[in-house]
Amino acid sequence: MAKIGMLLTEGPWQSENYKVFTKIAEAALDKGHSVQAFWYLDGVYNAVKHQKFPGTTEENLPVSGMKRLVEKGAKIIACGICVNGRGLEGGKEFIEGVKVGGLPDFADIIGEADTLVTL
Amino acid sequence: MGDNGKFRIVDFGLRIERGDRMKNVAIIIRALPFNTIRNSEALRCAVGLTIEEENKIKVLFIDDGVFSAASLSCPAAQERDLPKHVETLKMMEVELIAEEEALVSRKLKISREEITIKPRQVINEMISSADVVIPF
Repeated sequence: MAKIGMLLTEGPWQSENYKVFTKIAEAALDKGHSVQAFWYLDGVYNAVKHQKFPGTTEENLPVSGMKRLVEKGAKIIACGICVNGRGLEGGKEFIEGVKVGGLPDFADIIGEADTLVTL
Repeated sequence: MGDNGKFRIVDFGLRIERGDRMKNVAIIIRALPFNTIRNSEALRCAVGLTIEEENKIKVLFIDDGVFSAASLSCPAAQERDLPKHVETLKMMEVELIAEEEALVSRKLKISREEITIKPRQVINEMISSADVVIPF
């Protein structure tokens, strides 16, 4: 089984990269591959748990897909400088399972991964 | 999956590569540096990745990204720590390369010795041979 590394640099409310990210990661996990992701720049907003949007059901919120990935075993690390730079206070409002780390973690992911997906 | 065992999907800004533990990493800066912090954050990312000594990192300035390489002395670039990142990367022996054709067509010059200029064909080969491509 392959180790898949992923980099996500965009937040959930401007592009649909979060959706592509979720679909690729979930497909990989369902086939038994491991997924390690690093969220950089606005990508860290994907972990904010209190998301609401008019007309969007709970299960269709971007963060619900991320929760599902964590439950399926994805390891996700958000860049700490990006988190604090955006006032997210060390990720205290993040969903469970998303850790706050740094670029050395991304270097590890690159080193260990068989495949890197950048979005 | 391609014939050589590599994943290669290049569409909608999505890239997938496959490699081993020691990686040739190409960080691509391809957009204008104005109204965004992505270019300076790309350089910060490159600095951070040097912590894994096994990785061989190149930073490639292509297309409009060459404005970032050519404007290091302007106040906006100083504000975003671009010169500091470039100095650090050079100290860490990271190659910084700007695309010759992009510079010529935009009438830009590189005044920093840390950045070398190479033709587009050479840069394309660098991207093709990289294990990991990270476009910003």
